[in-house]
Formats: sequence, C-alpha cells, structure tokens
Amino acid sequence: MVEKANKRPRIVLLVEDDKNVAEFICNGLRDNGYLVDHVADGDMGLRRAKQGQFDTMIIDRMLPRRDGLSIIQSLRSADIQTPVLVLSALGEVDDRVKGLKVGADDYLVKPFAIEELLARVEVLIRRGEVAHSETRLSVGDLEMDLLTHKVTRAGQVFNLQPREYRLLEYLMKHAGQVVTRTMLLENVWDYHFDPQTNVIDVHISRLRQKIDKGFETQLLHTVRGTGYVLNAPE
Amino acid sequence: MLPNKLVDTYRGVFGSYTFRFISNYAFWLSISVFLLLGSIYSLYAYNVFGSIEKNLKTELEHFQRALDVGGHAAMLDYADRRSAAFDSPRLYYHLLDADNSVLASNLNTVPQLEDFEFSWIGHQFKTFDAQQGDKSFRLAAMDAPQGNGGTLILAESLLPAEEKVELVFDLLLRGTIVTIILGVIGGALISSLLLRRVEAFNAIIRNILAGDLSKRLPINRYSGDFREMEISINLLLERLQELMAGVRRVSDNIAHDLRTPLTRLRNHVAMLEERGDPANREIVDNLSREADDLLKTFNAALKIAQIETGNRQSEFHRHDLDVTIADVVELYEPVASEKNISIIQNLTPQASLTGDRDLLFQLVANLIDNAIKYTGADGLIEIILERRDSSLIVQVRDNGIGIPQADRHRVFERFFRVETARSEYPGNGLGLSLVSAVVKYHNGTINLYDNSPGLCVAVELPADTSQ
Repeated sequence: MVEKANKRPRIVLLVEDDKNVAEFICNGLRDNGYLVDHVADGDMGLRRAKQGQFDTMIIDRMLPRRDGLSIIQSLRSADIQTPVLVLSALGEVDDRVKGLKVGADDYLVKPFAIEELLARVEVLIRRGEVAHSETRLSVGDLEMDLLTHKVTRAGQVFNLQPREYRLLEYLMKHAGQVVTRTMLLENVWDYHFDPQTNVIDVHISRLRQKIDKGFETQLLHTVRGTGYVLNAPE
Repeated sequence: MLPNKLVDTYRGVFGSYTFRFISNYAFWLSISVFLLLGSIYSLYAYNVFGSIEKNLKTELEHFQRALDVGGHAAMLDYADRRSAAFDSPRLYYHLLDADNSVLASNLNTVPQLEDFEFSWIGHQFKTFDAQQGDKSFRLAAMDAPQGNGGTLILAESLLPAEEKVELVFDLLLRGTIVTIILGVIGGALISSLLLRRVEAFNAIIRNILAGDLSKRLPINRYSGDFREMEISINLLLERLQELMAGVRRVSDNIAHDLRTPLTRLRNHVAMLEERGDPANREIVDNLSREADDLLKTFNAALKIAQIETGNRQSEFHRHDLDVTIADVVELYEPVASEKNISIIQNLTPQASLTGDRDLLFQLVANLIDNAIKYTGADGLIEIILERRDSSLIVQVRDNGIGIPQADRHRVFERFFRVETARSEYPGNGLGLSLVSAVVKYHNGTINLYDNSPGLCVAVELPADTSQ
C-alpha cells in the first residue's frame, strides 16, 4: 500500500507488550515495506524512542513498567515531535481525548483491521514530513483554495456543500494515501462510530459525481475492502 | 445491572415483610401480656374475695355457736363485742324466723341474696345491695339455715374489696396498653433499624453492580452477623470481578484471535479480486462482502458486550443532542434520498445532556438507518426531539413495514430478527440491541409504538438541567 516511490524505508517503533498483537502488527508493517523496531515494555520503549530516529511510533496504552501516555508526555516534554499512534485495548478507558491531549496524534482501539492501522501510519508519516501551511491544495488538475473555499477542476468551478468540501479537503490533504471509512467519519464528521451500512459510500459517490463526472481521468478511487484514495494520474 | 423489575419485587417483598413482622410481633406480644396480666389480676381478685369468704365463714361459725348456746340474745351480745374489736370490718347480721319475720338485724333493708358473679373462681358467698344514707353499696353475704326453719345471714361490705380489685384491674389494663404500645414501637424501631441497614447494604451493592465492581462493602468493626454477611458479600464480589475479568480477557483474546484470521481472509479475497479470473468476479465480490459483514457483526457484538458489562467507562461530556441528531441526519440524508425518502426534523434547540457523544450518535444513526432500511421508496421519516420535564424524548417515526406487536418486546434481544424481514432485508439483528444498550447505559428508556403504518421508536434520556 505504501508507494514504492519512497526510497528510504520508513522505520516504525512499536511499543506493545502483547505478543500476538505485536506479531500481527509487525507482520502487517513489514509486509508493506516498513522497518519495525519492537519493544515490549514502557521503560525500554521510552529509552528507544529518545535514542532512535523514527518516522512514527505506535504505542500501546497499557504497558508494563511505564504507561503509554506517560511515554508520550515524556517525549513531548523532551521536544521529540515524532508522530505517535496510541493503541488501546478493549475494556480500557476508551477516552480518545485524554490520549490526544497528552500529545498523541491518533488513537486506535483494538481490535482493528491491519489496513486501518497501515492507513493511519501512512497519514502520520506524511504529516511528519509536510507542514500544511499552504493555502492551496491541488491533485492533478483539481484545485482547492483553502481561503476562498473555491474548488475547480480544469477551470470548471464546483459548487460543493460544506460537508462535501470538508470531505474533499481531507482527501486532498491525504492525496495518494488510502483513507478508511472510519478515518473519514472521525475526521470529516468528527464522530467515532460503526455504521450499519456504508453511508460514506453515498457521500463519496455524490462527490465523485461532481468532481469526476465528465472528466477523462478519474481522481477518486475506491480501494476494495479498505477505503478510498484520491490520486493524480501518473 | 439489575433489571428494574427484579429490584421492584425485591423492595415489595421487603415492604410487606416489615409490615408482617411488626403485626405478628404485636399480636403475640398482646396475647402474652394479656395472659400474664390477666392471671395476675385473677390471682389478686381470688385472694381479696377469698379473704372475705374466709372471714364470713369464721364469723358465721362464731355467730352460730353463740346462737346455739344462748339464743339470739347471746348472738347480739357477741355481735356487740365483735364490732367493738378495733380492726375487724363491720359485720351485718340478719336473723330470720321460719316465717321470714326479722328476729334481729342491723340492716335497714331486707337482703335479696344473689349469687356472686365471681363464684366461678370458687367463692361460695352471695351478694346483695344495701342502702346507707343515699348511697347504695354491695355486700358479701353468707346464710346458714337454722334448726327452727329460720335463716341467719351475715354480711360484710364488698366496697373496699371491689375498690382494690378495680384499682388493680385499672392498673393492669393501663399497664397492658402501655406495654403493647411500647412493644410495638420498639419492635417497629428495631426492625426498621435492621431493615434500614439491609437497605443500605442493597444500595451499596446496587451501586457496585451498576458500575465499579472493584468497590467493596465497608466491614463492620464489631463481630456479628452483619460483619459476616459483609465479608461474604465482598467475597462474592471478588469472585464476580474475577469472572468478569476472565470474560473480558477471553473476549479480548477472541477479538484478537478472530480479527487476525478474518483480516487475513479479507486480504486474500482482495488479492483474488486483483489477480483472480474475472469469471469468478461475482463469487469473489460475495466473499468480500461476507467477510465485511462478519467483521461488522463481530464489532457490534463486542461493542454491546463492552457497554453492557460497564467496561467502556467512557467519560461523559455535556453536549447538545439536537446537534448530534442533526449531524446524523446530515450523514444519512444522501442514503435516504437515494430511496427517495424524505427526512423531516423537528428538534428542540439546546437540548443538552451529559453522555457519551459517540455512543449517542451511534444510537440515533442505528435508528435512522433502520428507518431508511424498512421504509419503502417515497417514504417519510420524522425525527422529533422534545424536552419534557427533566427528560429529552427522541422519536423516530417512519411509515415503513413496522414491527408486528408480538415481536416488539423481542427486537432488543441480540441477533433477533423479525421473521418477515429476515429474508428480505440485510442485517445482523444487533442494531436495536446496541441501541438498547446505549439507552440503558445513559439511564434512559426505549419504547416501540405503532405509527400505523410504520414504527415509532421513542427514546427517553435524562436531560442536563444545570445551566
């Protein structure tokens, strides 16, 4: 899923004490071209995190010897800004806000599909690389002005509903990355829930009607079993 | 969490138990006090009247002897000497001849002898009424037939004895009443103290069951039944907590153990989709959909379990339910309009409540999702939010196929699906179970009504009344 264009392999630090989960994540990441550094306890995790150069870190909340949130707090106070994805097991205090407050960048509750984790890790790595200070986004001939909220493709102006605009903005900010339906619900709608039917699909197809219909190249693609990707043609 | 019904019956039994305890106690207390005081009274009366009887009997013997020896002159002489004696009660005599003419008497009336009403105790004397001045009083009398056919009657005033007995009767009656009243009050006090203790127990246990299983009952400092009960209950809670933790561990493990192979399965299906024979496309598509449904069902079941066992422990925040509902409607509006279904909203603004925002979103989303699913093309869904006293009431009404009356109480059961909908509509039978779990989690209630045609789901949640 990771684009092969990236020359340097990405290094991920995984701090997770559960053997099965760790193996599951390691395999998933390695299969997708990441290098994984795995430690099983909190103290070791913090030491490794301070020493190494990581592209992103995946840290479990409940760890022996040192709590996951405390690791993040220590890192942030040591001015280490590496993006962190917090994992939380079913049954633990499911408070995303607390996790994000201490400086975590994303939060994922176990159990999760590996695609979900991969998509989020990818987004985190990109976020670490690019600072979104620009006022214009563009993917291929699709352009978005973040100040005037004007969206055009090949000169044609689109009239988007506020939610469609936010949806497209999120997709464009993560262009080339697979975003899952859950990620869209969390970031565009700001709710964390499990829809019974794929409500997102209808929103996507509406958006597709506006930005892709009548154009030769399709920008908005569905990734089977995972989510969507907004891709500029090669 | 205990179902409300169970709690209520439990309370009812206790209420009547207190009542039964006190009324039983009062009944037996009255009977024993009555028996005790009654026997004291009769013993006393027996003695008092017995001494009168004895006195009369002795005097009758003396009078008889005097009569036998010296006729009624000697008898009168004896009577005079006897009345001169200082401490003896005044005696009345009445000597009758055979023709009932009075030979000697110090009575101003003719005695009409009657049986004494207490003769059942064994006293042999009779009574009659006499007049002294304008006062009438009763006398105890004994008569002895004379050899010549006449009768000697000796009498003594019953007044002092009757006064004494009456006084004792009065005292005892009052004593009985006071004893019973005090006894009942005491009994009620003791039983209510005990019951209050038990109620306090119940309250603590209910609190523990409703949320934090790690809490324990405070242990009484003094040894005794209560202390033992508290220790037993704490042991019980300990065991319960262990079991719950076990269940949680198992479900966590199952979650991971099933998620992983399921995810792999789906990945392989995805690979098949990319590389497989296009002829098998439809089969692969179905496989992929089935795997997704399986994962979805799995997640929903886990989520319900998590909420119902109180393991979610999410932080409650204050927010506006009308905003959440509007967000749900906005999310589902395109799905509805694909089926040409209109959604009408009628929301009370600033309807704030304290709760888990994501779960409440899920609740409303499931209701609207169902409404869309079970309503035909060109249908109408109405969502109403009202504030009533300290509650927020959400109603989702549709004009779809509805739920038959007989199935309405079952649709909240996990995996239950209405028979007619089972074949025609997709679903896992967990949507309303999840809704119900979320409602209970927020101390709310949910009811289903006929919207004829269609269904009306009414959810009542406690509003946040603080400003």
